Amino acid sequence: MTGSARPHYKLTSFAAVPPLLALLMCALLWLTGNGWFLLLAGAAIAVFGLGVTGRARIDDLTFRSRHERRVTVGRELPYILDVVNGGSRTSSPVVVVVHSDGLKDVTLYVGPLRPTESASFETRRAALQRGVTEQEKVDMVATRSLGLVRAHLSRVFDQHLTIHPGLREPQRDPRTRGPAGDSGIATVRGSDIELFGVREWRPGDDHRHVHWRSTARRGQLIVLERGETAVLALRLLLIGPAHADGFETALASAAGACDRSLRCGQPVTVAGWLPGGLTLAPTGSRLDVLDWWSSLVEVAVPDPRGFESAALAAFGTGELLVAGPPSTLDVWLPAAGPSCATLRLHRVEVGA
Amino acid sequence: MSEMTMLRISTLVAAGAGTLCLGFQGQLRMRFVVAALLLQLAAAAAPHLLPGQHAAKVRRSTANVLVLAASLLAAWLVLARPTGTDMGGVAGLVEWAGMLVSVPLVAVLVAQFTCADSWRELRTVLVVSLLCVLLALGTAEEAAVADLWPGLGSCLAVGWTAVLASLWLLQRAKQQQAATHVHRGWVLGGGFQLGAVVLGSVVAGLAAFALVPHPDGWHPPGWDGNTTRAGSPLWQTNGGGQAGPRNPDSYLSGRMDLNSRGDLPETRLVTVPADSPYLWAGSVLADYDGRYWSAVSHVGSIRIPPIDSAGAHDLRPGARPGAAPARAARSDDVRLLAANVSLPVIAPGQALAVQVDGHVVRDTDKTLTIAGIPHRPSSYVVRSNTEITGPATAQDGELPTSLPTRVGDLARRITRGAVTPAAKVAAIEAYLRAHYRYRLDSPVPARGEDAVDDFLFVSLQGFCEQFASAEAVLLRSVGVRTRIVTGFATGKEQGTRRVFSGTDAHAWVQVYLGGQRWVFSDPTAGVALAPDSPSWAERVASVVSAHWRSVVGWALTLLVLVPFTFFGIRRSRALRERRRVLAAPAYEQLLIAFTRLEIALAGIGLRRAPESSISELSSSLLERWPGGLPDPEATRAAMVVVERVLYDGTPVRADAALTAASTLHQLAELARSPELGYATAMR
Repeated sequence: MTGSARPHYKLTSFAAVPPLLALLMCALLWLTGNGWFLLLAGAAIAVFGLGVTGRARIDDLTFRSRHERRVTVGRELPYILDVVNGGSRTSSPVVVVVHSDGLKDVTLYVGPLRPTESASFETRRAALQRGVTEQEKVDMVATRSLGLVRAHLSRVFDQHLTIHPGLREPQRDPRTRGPAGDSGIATVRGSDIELFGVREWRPGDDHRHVHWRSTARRGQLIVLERGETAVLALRLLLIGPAHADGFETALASAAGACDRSLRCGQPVTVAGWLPGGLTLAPTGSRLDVLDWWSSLVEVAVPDPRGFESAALAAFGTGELLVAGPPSTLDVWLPAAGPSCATLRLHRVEVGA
Repeated sequence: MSEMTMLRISTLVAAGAGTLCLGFQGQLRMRFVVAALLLQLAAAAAPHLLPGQHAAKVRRSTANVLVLAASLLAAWLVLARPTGTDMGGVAGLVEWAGMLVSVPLVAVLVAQFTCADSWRELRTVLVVSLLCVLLALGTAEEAAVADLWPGLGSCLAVGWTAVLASLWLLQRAKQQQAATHVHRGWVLGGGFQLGAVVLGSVVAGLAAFALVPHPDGWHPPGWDGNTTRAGSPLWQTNGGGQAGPRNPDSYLSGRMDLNSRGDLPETRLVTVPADSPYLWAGSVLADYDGRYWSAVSHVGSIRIPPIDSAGAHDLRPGARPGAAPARAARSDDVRLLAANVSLPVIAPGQALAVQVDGHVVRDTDKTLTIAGIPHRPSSYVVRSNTEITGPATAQDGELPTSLPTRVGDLARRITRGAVTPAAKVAAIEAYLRAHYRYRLDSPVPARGEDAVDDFLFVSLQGFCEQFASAEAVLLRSVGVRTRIVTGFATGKEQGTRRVFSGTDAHAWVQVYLGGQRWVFSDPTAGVALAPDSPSWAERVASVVSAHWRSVVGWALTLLVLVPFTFFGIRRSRALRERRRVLAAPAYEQLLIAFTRLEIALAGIGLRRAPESSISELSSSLLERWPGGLPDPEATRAAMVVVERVLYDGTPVRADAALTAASTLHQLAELARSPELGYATAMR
């Protein structure tokens, strides 16, 4: 456990009351000549003097937390905090605020603890933000006796907690017609007789595929796309920047898609574009991948020009889902798409 | 027992002590006090006996009625006082104000207990209890602590302990309310610190009460009927401890202030023959009140008519024109040098007649002055006897009732063995010369202290006024009749004349020996000088010792006032700003409007997903609102405000919150219209 050894003291606004009371008494004394006001003035000054000179005994308190090592954003973590008075004198009553990255703060009141006495608090803390935290911080605030002085002391103690992102289902798989099922088998673009969908005609499309009824209805050339049933392999890239709006949502969607594919037994290749370049996620268990999602801090935007070679080395040719902040994808995908001849880039739509 | 329960008990004790203080002080009749205590007890139990929201409203209404009724009762008690009751003076005013204030105060105590559901209300109880104690103390006669025990003093001690204990518990209750989880620990932990604060504050208060001199307090000019005293509206400058100016007039005007200090001017005032006696008398003062010597007044000033055409004025009482001239031992020519200074007739003994080209007026204080038309004469001839005769009056032996008895004890000790007045005079003169020192800037007595007592027992230093007054008072204490004489002494010889300047003004004693015989006695002559010409360090020390209370008081005041004024201004600004930006009603309206909108959006299929942010909702509305949003910019701005309020925590101005609320209300109304399919969707 680390932190400042001694508390910092600060006068509270209530500390103004005894001197002001003494001043009032002196004024009354001066006006009335009644010595009893002198008695009260002296007493008020003494209260001020004694109230501000005492020390809060909170530096002997030690903290230890007990909880699960992993939690998911949006869930509550069962949390137990043990407070022990390791000093030789009774501790002062103190308000303790426990801060942990990603968890909701919790405020506790620890009454006076006799030497070696301990207090245990059992609570549930909501996970608010994904991440990996190695330390917890407790802020202790004690107002001595009459509350004229506030003593503040911070302590940091080690703990390991991984907060997984809240998993979200992508709105739909862009490679498929409609959402992919739990089996991981879906209809994708292909050459089978199965209808995949309709879209606007693009140069190079076979004229035989023009769907004339839709063309007549819409007033522009519409072509039919054929599909085929296939087991999809997930290849997904997360790009940043991490501080942009919607990044966490995109990460949650990407993590959700990845997790579903892993649960379906599909081959999964996931990577993030970190400041050092493209980094692949571990290929072990689901937990390893979820931990990897939690550990992502700095995620960058790849340069569209040099992107293809790095992506080919990691993913090979074919379909690649790209997740990221909507504002980045709006700009980056049109720029990267034409320069990636061997990759078909698809945007991961944010789902519920 | 929880902290809140202990807090209720301690505040009940504090309130009871405050009420009892008022009772012991006589502001409230004891029957009323007992009733109030019972009511307080019942009111403190009311929140436990009548819990619940509805009961709380009833209790609050009851409390309001109680306070109103008590205020009316107090007003009636004051207005319905029997006619003829003395309402004048400080005592009457204090009694009147006490009655008007104390009854509602106690009613507020009961009322607060009736609806005390939180520590804030109990804190109000504490403040009102403290006010009760202040009111009781403010109207209490100043007496020794032992005299007040066990009444007011014991209530004060118990009340003070209860107030501090309540503050201690209030802190804990406040801390516990701020926490979501509470471990109370050892309830009595920290009690030793509280005990130390209680004990220390009581000791400090008693020490201050016992050691620090108590001031007299401020009285409006004229409040005590003495309108002749000068003084500012805030402070009477001629009160004790304040030195008045010293000038020749204070010796010769028929009134002498023993608290006057300062150097006399060296202005040449009058010349007399060089061979005349060294004491020249001007005024004779017989009345002493503890600070002033003055002549016995009679009605109006009297103009003494000349007895012949040469301008001779017979000064003997009852002398008429044509009467035989008095037989004088000597005749002296007196020449006035300062035309602008009004001097009385002076004589080297008992003045019998004055020959002057003008008028002689016996003033209200028996002082003889010379007047002329159009100009005052510049000289006169005075005929006098150095042997003074005349009857002694009862006034010549009177002493002020406020004179401490130790003065009389001292006089009897000094004159032990002396039988005749002359022997007593000799003993006292010798004693004064042996034990006291001459000093012009001697310390001024404290306000209200007897000047002679202060000279004899406190300062031990003084000049002619103090020596003469001390001898006169000591002699009167042992039955010898005396008067104070003011005039001139010694002077400076210039050829055949002797010049009296302002610095030659002097005071001495006229002692009655019996048989209508009086003699002069000058105890100042031969007195040793106090160490004079002090060094600068001694001067600084004397100034500090004389004014240390003022210096320390101002220093403490500045030390406390400046930082707390600064703190107060900053705090009030912060609060004002906080009130401005965090207008709770505006926030509430905004959140209500947003909730209504969310419900309405669900009705038209635009429900916000639990995970989506406010900005995502805003974008969704812009894209998916049927027919397009009527005012996209206003909607986006309103959503930004909602996001800041809900998640950002950045203060939002009240007007911005209200504008956003209005926009969201309109949007919700629009969403509920059948055109958007609201009704269909809800079915």
